[in-house]
Formats: sequence, structure tokens, C-alpha cells
Amino acid sequence: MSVRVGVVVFPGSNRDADALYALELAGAEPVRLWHESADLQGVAAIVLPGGFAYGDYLRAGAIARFSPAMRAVSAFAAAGGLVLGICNGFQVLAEAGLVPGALLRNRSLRFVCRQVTIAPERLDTPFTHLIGERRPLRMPVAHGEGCYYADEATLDALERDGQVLFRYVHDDGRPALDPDDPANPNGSLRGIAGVMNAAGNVAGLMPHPETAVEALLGSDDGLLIIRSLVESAAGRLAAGSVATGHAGGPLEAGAR
Amino acid sequence: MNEPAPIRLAPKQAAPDKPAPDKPAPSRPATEFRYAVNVTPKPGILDPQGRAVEQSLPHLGLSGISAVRVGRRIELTVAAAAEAEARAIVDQLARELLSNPLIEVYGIELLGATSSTTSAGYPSPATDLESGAR
Repeated sequence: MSVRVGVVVFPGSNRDADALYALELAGAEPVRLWHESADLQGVAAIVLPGGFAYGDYLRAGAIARFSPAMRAVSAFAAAGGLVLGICNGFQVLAEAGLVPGALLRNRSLRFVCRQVTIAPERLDTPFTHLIGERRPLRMPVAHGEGCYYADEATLDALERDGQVLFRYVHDDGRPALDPDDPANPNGSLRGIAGVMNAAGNVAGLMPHPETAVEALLGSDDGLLIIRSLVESAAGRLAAGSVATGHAGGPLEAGAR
Repeated sequence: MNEPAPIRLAPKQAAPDKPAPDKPAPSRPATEFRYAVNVTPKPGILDPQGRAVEQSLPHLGLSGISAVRVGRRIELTVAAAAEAEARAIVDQLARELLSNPLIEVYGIELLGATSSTTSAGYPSPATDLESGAR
């Protein structure tokens, strides 16, 4: 039986179909979760997809944070559930305080839509364990507000605690730590492309692994991340160790 | 495209079809306070918009201008019994939604106040806040 993985659909999400497709390709049973519902339908993991939730009004992700679905996702995450935010989904997680930091306007002020190269910093997480060895991964970015920011003390803590999950790198794997490095598409501090929360069950990244899942698309490197998530969710479900997003309200789920 | 769902912040704003339970009783004396919330990038945070504005200044033939920061101004009306109460609501809204405290700071400006029992003067009546009373 395949594991159920939810994709939250906000008004303005536009990569939800890609996420659903990639999850299916990775062997999951994808489940569409509507933003107005707090019912997570018993999923074992959740993807927040790319797009422009609520039109990105005010700040990207700011309004999505208060949706019934996000309140349920927060409770699901607090109970240890696996959550992956991609692009706009990362912005939503950051606004909700589920991952550290914030995503600022790209340093160039331009919307950047191109293939980038990233490398995992950690290979022992639910989001990266199938990558196998540390190596550059090719996948696209498409965003106007992807410049990762946190204050210096937070950045130091993230590095120390292993919460930096991905960095932008050159094709030879050399990290693009400098915000003005051409391999750093948005000016992210220390070249950070993705981070995790302290507990290691919530991750966000700006690049799009879900649109790099077949050679036809220019790269299938992203499938390694999606498959890592799906297999981690399946493994946890089999071990009976995690809360699934079943349950009535978000608050009950959080209280467990 | 669907309309975004109303954001749930205390005190709850009444949806058109179901009145919020904690809405002030109509008999309660209320004044409408008009505020501006000014949100700007925190000092030290890179502001590429401010930098772009600054870099355009030579094209205008202007000099002596520095430290340009681009922010956002939100104006709104709050009905409450007292200014302190209204300000506390605006402060919560500014802290939780209008700004992101990691990267932005905000200031609250009182623009004016009008008793909701009179229709004269500034600000104009905010019908969506007290629609039940009209």
C-alpha cells in the first residue's frame, strides 16, 4: 500500500499539480488538501507547493499562514509530521515560523527563472537520505523573493546545528557562499538554498525538485528529494512512530 | 480565482453570513480610530528597492540623498471604546501580519478619531467594521 502524502492547494498555488505528479512518480498516493479545510485526511507527510498563495499580497506566504490548512499543518509539524515546503511553500513555512529565517526580495530585484545547481549539506535527513553521496543536483528556480536571510547569530546556529540543508553551488560543487556569486541566483546569505527546523522534520527550499523528476525535463535529480520524503513517510508509518494528519481539528492533533 | 478566506485575528471580523461571537455589543459606546501602520526594513537588512531608488538619483540630478529605505504603509479604521484598546488591536495586527519581525520594523500613527454615532468628520465611516449597526 502506498503512503498518502498531501499537497496543500492555496488560491494562487501553481506548482501543486507538479508536486502531485512527482509524488505519484515517487510511489506515493498524492492527496490534494484544500486551504480552507483543516482536515489533513490522514496523510503521512505534507508538501507545500510553489506558486503565489493569496497573490503573495503583503509578503509572500504572509496570508497563507493564517489559513485553516496551515494551522493544521503547524499542529502536524509540532507532532513530528514531515513537511516539505518548495519555493512559495518555503516562504509560507518561514512566515509561519516553522523554519528559521525569511525570504527577501532577490538582490537583483529580478524574478529569476533558470536551472541552478545545489548540493545537500546533510545526507541523513528524511528529505535527503536517498541522494546517496554529496553531489551537485540540477533543478530549476523560479522566484522573485528567494534571498535567504537570517541574522548572523541565527546563521551561525544553523550551521552549528546542521540545519542548513542545501546550498547553491557551482557545477563543480564549490559552494556559492557569496551573495554576489553568479551561481547564487538570489543573493542568499551563505548561499543557503534550503533549511530545516531544529527537530529535523520540517524543511524548505527555493529550488523546485518536483519539476526535475524526469530526464525529459532536463534533470531527474529532484526525484531523489521527493523519493526521500515519500520513503521516510512510509517508513515512519510502518514503524507506527508518527502522528498522521488524521483527526478532527488542528488543535487536537497538536495536543497529542 | 477564489477570494482569500478572512484572516483570523482577534478580535474576529464578522463574516457576512455569520456574526463573530465576540463582536462588541451594539449598545457599547464605540469610537472609530483611523491609523496608519508604517512598515520598513529593519536597520541593517539589505533593501534592494531602496538601493535601486538611490542609484537612480544621479539620473535626476539630485545629490546629498542617502540611506533610502522602501517600506509599506497600511491605513485602517478600528472601532473600540478607547484609543488604548484600539491601538492594542492595531499593534497585534502589525506584529502578527502586517510586518515580519525578523526583517521589518513598524510604527503606528493615529490619524484621527470619530464617534461612530455621528457621521460628520474624518474618518469616513467604516461600514464593513460595524455593518450590523447600520
